[in-house]
Amino acid sequence: MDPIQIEAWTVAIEALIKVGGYAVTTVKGWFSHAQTDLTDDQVTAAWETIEADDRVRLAIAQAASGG
Amino acid sequence: MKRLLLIPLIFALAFSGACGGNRPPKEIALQAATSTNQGLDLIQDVEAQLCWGTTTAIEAKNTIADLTKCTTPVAAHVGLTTEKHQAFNKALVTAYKAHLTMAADLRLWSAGMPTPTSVNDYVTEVTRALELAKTLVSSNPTVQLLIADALALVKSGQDIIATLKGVVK
Repeated sequence: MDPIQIEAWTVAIEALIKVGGYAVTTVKGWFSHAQTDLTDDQVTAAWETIEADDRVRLAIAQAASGG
Repeated sequence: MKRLLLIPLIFALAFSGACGGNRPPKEIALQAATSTNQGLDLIQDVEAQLCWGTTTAIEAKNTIADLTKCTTPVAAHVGLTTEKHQAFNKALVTAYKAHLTMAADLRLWSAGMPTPTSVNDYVTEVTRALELAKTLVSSNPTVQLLIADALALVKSGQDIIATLKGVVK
């Protein structure tokens, strides 16, 4: 993929979450299953999009663990 | 309606780069790490269903006042005590922390280097979560789901380690 396609990937993932209203977990599933030939940069682009969700879930686990 | 328009977009973009050849272990591991993220969310959500009766942990965050304790009769029935619930979530905390650094660690990794600590930590903690799940009443279908999902997560983590060690191509 060229940089334009990588950017399109990121935009598409963000759109699915923010505009489409899909759960981040659902989009992660599509992403991981659809990809078979990604470079590091391509994975990084998508990874950054889902990191925010990881942080929310980490905060929940921290609260549930009692600190 | 927006969803109907977006589905073809995401899959068109996904498969536009999907013609694979032989890929280096690092790339395979990175993709596997991305996939494990979904599994981690899944076991958190299944435990949330048992403990709080919510569909997801995200939902519980907005509706349950005290996340340190389980509130459902089913939690008591399957043996999901406060102690086990908190221990499960402690494992998730470390697993999520490891997962957050795993992508960066894998990008820096090259053949011959040891497996990144974050990968080992991740596997250790999801294994701990699996062992805790196994102590619950396994005749319950949701517990069975939790065990199956945690087992898959452990396996995927082990596959990442094996890939980095060159055991799996």
